[in-house]
Amino acid sequence: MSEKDPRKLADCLKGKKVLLMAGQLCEEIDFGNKKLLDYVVEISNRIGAPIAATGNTPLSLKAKGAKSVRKMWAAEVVNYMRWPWEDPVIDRKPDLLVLIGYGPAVAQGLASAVRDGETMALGNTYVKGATYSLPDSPSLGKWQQSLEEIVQALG
Amino acid sequence: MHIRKGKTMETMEEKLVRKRFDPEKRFMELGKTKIDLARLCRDARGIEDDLRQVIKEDWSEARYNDWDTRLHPFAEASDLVVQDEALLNNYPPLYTDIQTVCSDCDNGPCDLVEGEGLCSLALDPFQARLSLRVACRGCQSQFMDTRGLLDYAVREFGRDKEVSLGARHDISDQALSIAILTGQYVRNLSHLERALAYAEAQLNKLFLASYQGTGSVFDFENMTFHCGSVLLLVQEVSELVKGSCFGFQKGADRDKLEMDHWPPPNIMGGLGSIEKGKPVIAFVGDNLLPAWSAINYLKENELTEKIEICGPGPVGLDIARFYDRVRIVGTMANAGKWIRSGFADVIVASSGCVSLDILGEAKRVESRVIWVSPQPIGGLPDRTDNPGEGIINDLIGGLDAVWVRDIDKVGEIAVRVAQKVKRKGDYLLSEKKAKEEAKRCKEDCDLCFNACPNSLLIGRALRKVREEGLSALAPIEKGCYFCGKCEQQCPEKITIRDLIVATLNKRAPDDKFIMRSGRGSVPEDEIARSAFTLMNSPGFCWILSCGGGKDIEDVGWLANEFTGKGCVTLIAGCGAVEAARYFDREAGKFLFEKFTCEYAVKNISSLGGCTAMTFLQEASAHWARTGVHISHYANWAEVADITHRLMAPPVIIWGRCPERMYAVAAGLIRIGHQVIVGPNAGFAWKRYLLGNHFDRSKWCVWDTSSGRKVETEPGQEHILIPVETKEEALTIFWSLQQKPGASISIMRLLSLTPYIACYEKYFGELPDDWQWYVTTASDLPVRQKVRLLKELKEKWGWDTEGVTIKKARHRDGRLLTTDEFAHEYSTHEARFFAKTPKLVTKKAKENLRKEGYDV
Repeated sequence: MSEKDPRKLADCLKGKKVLLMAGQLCEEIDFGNKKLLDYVVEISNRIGAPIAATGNTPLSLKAKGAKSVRKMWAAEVVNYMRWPWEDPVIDRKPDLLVLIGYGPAVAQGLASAVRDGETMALGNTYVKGATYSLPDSPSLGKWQQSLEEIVQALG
Repeated sequence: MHIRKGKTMETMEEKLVRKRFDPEKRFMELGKTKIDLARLCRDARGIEDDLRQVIKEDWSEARYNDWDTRLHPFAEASDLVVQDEALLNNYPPLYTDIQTVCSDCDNGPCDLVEGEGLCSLALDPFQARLSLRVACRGCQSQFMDTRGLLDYAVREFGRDKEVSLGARHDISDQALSIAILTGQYVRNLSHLERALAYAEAQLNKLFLASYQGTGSVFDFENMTFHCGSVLLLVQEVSELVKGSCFGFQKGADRDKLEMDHWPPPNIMGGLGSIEKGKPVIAFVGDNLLPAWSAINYLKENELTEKIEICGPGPVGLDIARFYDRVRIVGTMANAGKWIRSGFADVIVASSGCVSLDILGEAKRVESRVIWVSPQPIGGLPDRTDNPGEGIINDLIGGLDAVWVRDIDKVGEIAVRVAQKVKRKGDYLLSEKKAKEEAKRCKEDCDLCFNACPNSLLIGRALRKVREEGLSALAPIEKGCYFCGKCEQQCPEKITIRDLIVATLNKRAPDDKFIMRSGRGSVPEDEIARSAFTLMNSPGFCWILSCGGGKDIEDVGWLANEFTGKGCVTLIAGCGAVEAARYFDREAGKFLFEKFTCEYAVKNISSLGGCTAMTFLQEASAHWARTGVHISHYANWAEVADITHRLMAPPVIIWGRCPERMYAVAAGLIRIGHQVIVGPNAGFAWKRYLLGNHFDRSKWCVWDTSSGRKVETEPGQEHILIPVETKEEALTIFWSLQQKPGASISIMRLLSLTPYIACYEKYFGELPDDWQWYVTTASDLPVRQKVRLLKELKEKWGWDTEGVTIKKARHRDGRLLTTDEFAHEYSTHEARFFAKTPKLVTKKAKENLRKEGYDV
């Protein structure tokens, strides 16, 4: 499903057990006035979702005030979705995994491997293997705009 | 057994034994024990003499009597299920980027989400079948190259030509990758012919199964593993031919006491190492023979000082083992970039591990191409039987490429063309033109970023080029492996790769490094010698790379980190070239100058080119012989079990990951390694083998002497995991170094210390599993001991006092004295232990049968 309206994606985040996955691109993407990391923190704080910080993101996320962050490896998170959930990053298996900060191929691989739960890709391209995904963004600016809209819609 | 008319009838098995075993060769003595080959293997025809020699010279009588060894000469995939079952039970495959529709036959397409296909194949087995197909494809070019090499060697030297990995190898460690699958004791080219024919037949069967097989996930993954094992065998065939017929230097021919400084760091690399003004011949691909032919011609005609021989990729590394004047430009993954830089006058090309538009790239810069592989390319006519003079004249006269399959001709043609060909030599964008080209980049467009497999921010850098010039592209160039996807997406059709090459050209004069050539195999006497130094080392580290990571300096960084922390580091293939670029500014030395090259602590050795990857398997699997006296001939299961639990270190595979590397990884995993693959390309493999450290039922071993089952720490948690960054790779490496086999506290201390240190340094927290690896207080990092003991007490409920542990908390919740804990958790009490109850002693099996185990 390519959900073109970011506000509808924001609605999908509400009322669900959400685990955010923050990948290495969160460290690398700087939109100028904000970093991709900032959006992860804002979404996390607004919906009270913990963050599985993958790549080298844990220190930066903590520094930016994320309230619940735990270092994990991206593939591990998806792997644990196959079994009874025991990882302390979240108290039970999430209903929805949100992927931010992964390249298109990585996000597609991770999202399509999750069978016992929903996934949402908030990347720069449409991810067909995800339950919900932002559409292709022709530029970093358009991508940022979508992320802004999601954050605003979360209230 | 059937009884008729008072006579005992033969059973089916007895009949088969009579048919398959020559009575003269079936029985033999080992010490006081009578050995029955029919008890050891199903069928030994054609291999009896080798097995008898191996048993006589390489077996332990005590081990034979105590253990229930079963040999599988010329093994099929399904002969080797014992270890594969143990692995896949602990690490069930996780398939990513699932393909749901199967169109592999004319009954299809079948949508497997809806249910099984018409052939009964289900969704997960289909993913496993695709995994097998990738591995099979990954083997093909290597198999083809090895077949060509071996056939050529047989024609040149005859089947009786002796082969060896070096003088220090004997029957106990000769050609392990071949012997472990076939049972052969390899001594001459005819043995290699038989081994390669076996491998080719295996690949045929595996390929067929990858399209028509309808088994389970396990069946296909067992075959994928087998594909990898067979590839490592084929690589060893190559290495034996190269080393025995084509003059490759071999460490095993040298005195082991000189191995700390041999081979010397005398191989020059990088574009800047090529002497200006000299004709340049580049060899690209897998095929070594054209280079051998050309260098022989150079030597015969005293031209070695006058022509530069270069090699991006595996051939360059191969050449370095017999010709130290070679200039190794870079890795195979980046070969397109090097070629477009225009450094070569003549390119002699063969198929290799990555796809490359070699004709197109060479034509842009007027490099003449001589294609030597058996398969056609780009519609070139086959000129193998044309007169050489005509081919030379055509190429000098302006013809851009020829296809010549006759290796003996190619060397001279390449040299003579290089001597006379004229190229205008001005192919790169100037700063001014680059800025103009960059001006076409739109302000609000990043489609190139969306397309880049390394997620490089190309557009942003291009827009900086307008003002800052090409230097703004420098970080992008270092992470670009020239796939061209950015150009495909660019609406303005900006020639991004031309800009990348122009940027490369700016740094080319300083692109110089020094490396050691490959040493070849590591014989058992060096492996045994290294054991004495291991008490001061966090372990072994194997690194592989084809290049093409997000930063050209990552492999060097990793190699420096591991070796600097005291690892015994081995590197093979193009990764050695990447590692060689690492320059320690403080020491003023390149990596291979900074560290010595013994198989010992705080040393790094380059084994050689792509085919030398087989020696990684050997270096690990030899420990079964060195440490536990298990002969490896046709004895996969016992060797792999020991290797996995005791010695096989994590392997880091970094950068672009072609299908060949997928198969190599499968082979290394099967013998017991854990593979860490990254950064971005690692996620493209679509199949990972991940454990779950929360599931205690998966983490246990069997005491081989009693059969007692013991819960262990979840060491070696994964056997194939992708990572995003080099820091993740470094940290999870230390995690995977935690082995149930490390029953000596100093070994736990040495691997737990960097694990915790890296985790805290890069991620700012303690790992969530460190407490499971602690068995005594002496396992804990010295400087962190007080803090960690406090954590054990307060968070995990252990009973500690001062710097000692009085009672440990078992994962089942019980608080146990240290003696009880040592008995019930991990491996402190077992002399040896196995990952599966099928690999314990005869006596232990008796005990297990009483408990209802099917062993």
